[in-house]
Amino acid sequence: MVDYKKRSRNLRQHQTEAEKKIWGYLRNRQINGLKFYRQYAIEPYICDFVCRDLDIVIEIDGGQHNESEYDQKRDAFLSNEGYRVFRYWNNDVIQNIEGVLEDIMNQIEALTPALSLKGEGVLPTSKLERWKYSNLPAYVSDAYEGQPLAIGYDGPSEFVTTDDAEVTPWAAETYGDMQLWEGLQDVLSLVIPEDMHVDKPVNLFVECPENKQYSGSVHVHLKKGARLTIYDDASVEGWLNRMTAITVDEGAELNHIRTGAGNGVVTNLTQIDLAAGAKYNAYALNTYGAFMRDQIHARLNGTAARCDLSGAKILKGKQHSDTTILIEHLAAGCHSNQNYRNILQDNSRGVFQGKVHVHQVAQQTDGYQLCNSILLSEKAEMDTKPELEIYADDVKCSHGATTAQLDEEPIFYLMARGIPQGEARNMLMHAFVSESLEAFDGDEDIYGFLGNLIEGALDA
Amino acid sequence: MIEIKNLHAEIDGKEILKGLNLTIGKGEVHAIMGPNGAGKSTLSYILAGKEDYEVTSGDILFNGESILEMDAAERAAAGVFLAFQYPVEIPGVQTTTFLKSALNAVRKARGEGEMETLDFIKLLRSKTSELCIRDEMLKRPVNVGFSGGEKKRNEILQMAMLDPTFCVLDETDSGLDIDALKIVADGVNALRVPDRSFLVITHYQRLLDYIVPDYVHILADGQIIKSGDAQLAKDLEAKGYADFIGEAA
Repeated sequence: MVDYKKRSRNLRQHQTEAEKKIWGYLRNRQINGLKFYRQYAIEPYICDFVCRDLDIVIEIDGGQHNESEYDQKRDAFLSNEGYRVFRYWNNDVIQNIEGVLEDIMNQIEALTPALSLKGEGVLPTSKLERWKYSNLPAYVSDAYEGQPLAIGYDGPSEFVTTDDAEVTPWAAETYGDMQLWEGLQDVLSLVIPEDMHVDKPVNLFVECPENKQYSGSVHVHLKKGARLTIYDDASVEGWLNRMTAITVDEGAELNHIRTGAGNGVVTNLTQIDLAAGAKYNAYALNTYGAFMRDQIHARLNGTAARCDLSGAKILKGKQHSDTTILIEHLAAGCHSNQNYRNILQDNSRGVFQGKVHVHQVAQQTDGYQLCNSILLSEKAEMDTKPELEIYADDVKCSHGATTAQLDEEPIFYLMARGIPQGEARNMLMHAFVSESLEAFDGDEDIYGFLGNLIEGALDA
Repeated sequence: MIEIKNLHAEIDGKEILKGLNLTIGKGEVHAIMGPNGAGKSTLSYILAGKEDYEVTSGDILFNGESILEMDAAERAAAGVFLAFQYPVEIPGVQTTTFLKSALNAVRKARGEGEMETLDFIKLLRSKTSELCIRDEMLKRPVNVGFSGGEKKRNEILQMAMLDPTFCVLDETDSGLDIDALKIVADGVNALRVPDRSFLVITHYQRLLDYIVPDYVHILADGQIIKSGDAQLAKDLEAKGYADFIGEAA
């Protein structure tokens, strides 16, 4: 009896140069999010690469047994089993990998004319623990025409690079939803040189029209001692699926302000790596989108790094907005803070899952989180799940979450001073949401910019 | 100026005011004293227009017109002012901003234009110096982190800014030491003008040594049981409420 497992393992350990090369592109769902296996047994044969989602077999042929009777018999068998077999020459893989990959992609696209991330079992569903309050497939069941994200950039052109070291989407593996984030095409890489303080903020803009699925990944890398402020704005009517990978080196500081408009679907993953003394100060104003998933994963890798995440949701109608955060303290003396305020009207639903994970090495950690919400309607719903996971013994951590109605006492107080009821309510809501701007108290521009948008969203 | 006629009011189905009658003329200062639970604070809230209370019968006339259908903001614009016993903290709203919004809301309702910023600042500065209010206090959110004395002075400042014609002071003396009490009383006395009336609600006679009333009323179990001049408050302090309540019964 043949031990296929043992044979597969043996073959994997003795990969040819061409097989190694192409595996670099097939692994980790880089092609259309599809999972490939190598040296996969379809008994009685062992195939070089197999994608079971689409029943595709890719074989890399050396010179010796090409077009042999053996191969013909084998292809007939696989075809009979429902597999499509694509064969490429060793030499082609080594000398013309681009051509080979292009052909593979063409073949795949031909097989699946409407291939997108919407297929059953491909999207994360609410069965996943970290997606339990948000059912993405309910929002993207219509056909979307997928294409790489076109991103507008308004800033010095010398920061845009094409040869920054590739950033792996490490955060993607956290919640079992990697199919959304892995293998996204790089659409913009910004590198800020060492010690450069960029005074003028840089603007990013994304426009995603109806029925389009725009996806891609953006990389931002601040080298040692650099400083930058990014205003990131999106107009979304279709489906925006974006990963933003941020690396902040020693002593560098990044402000990251995210806003948007439109009624589409947004799935965002922001992964942040912070070195010693690095600072990341972020604000997300989530007033837009029928469905929003804002997933943030930060690693504080060096001592005395600081990560401030804050934001607000101002939701109406049937909007669904989910902020899911994981902050990992991986070094001593770091500080993290999550500070969110939400106002929900009508039938809207908000989700906040914030987790602070303090690893054993991370002594003298300060980790705080607060998420307060006001429900203006009986049908609005807010789900909050603050979590602390602490393995170090010398830490200061706290978490808190409240969900309440707008307080009547202050309304009466303001009215007793002549301020009409509507105006009084608005003043109080504005004051409440403004508490989320605390981390920008010292920055008039950002504070003013966000303050105006908040006022506009509350008046609307 | 103000006429309260056979006022019956309840909260959560419990009757608190049981036929209260009171008339306050222009420029007069009336004091209402009474034991705990008599309905003193209820009366002040009902005058200001708090919605939790239900007026079941009777009426409140202000300059001859009923104010029962007006909400709190409309009453404030018309000239009714309540100095709260417990001023409410409003995080996130700066005191100066609040004062300006209130003043402009009231001016707008009275058909006056919004006040120029410079005029507003001048007005504010003149009032704050009278009440010994530091600029630093104005920069803080309304009543947040204020001491008891600061909160009460802030109430009187609002009164001075909004220029009301009928002021209700609900236990303004509570929680004040003697120095703070004097500052607050001086502030009130400075606002005593011929066309402004006051209703001073208090537990203790002490406040009335500083704000001398024209009339004193004793409120017990939702009704005025005795009225007199400033001497009544002194008698009350000497004898206690029990005597008067017994007398009335």
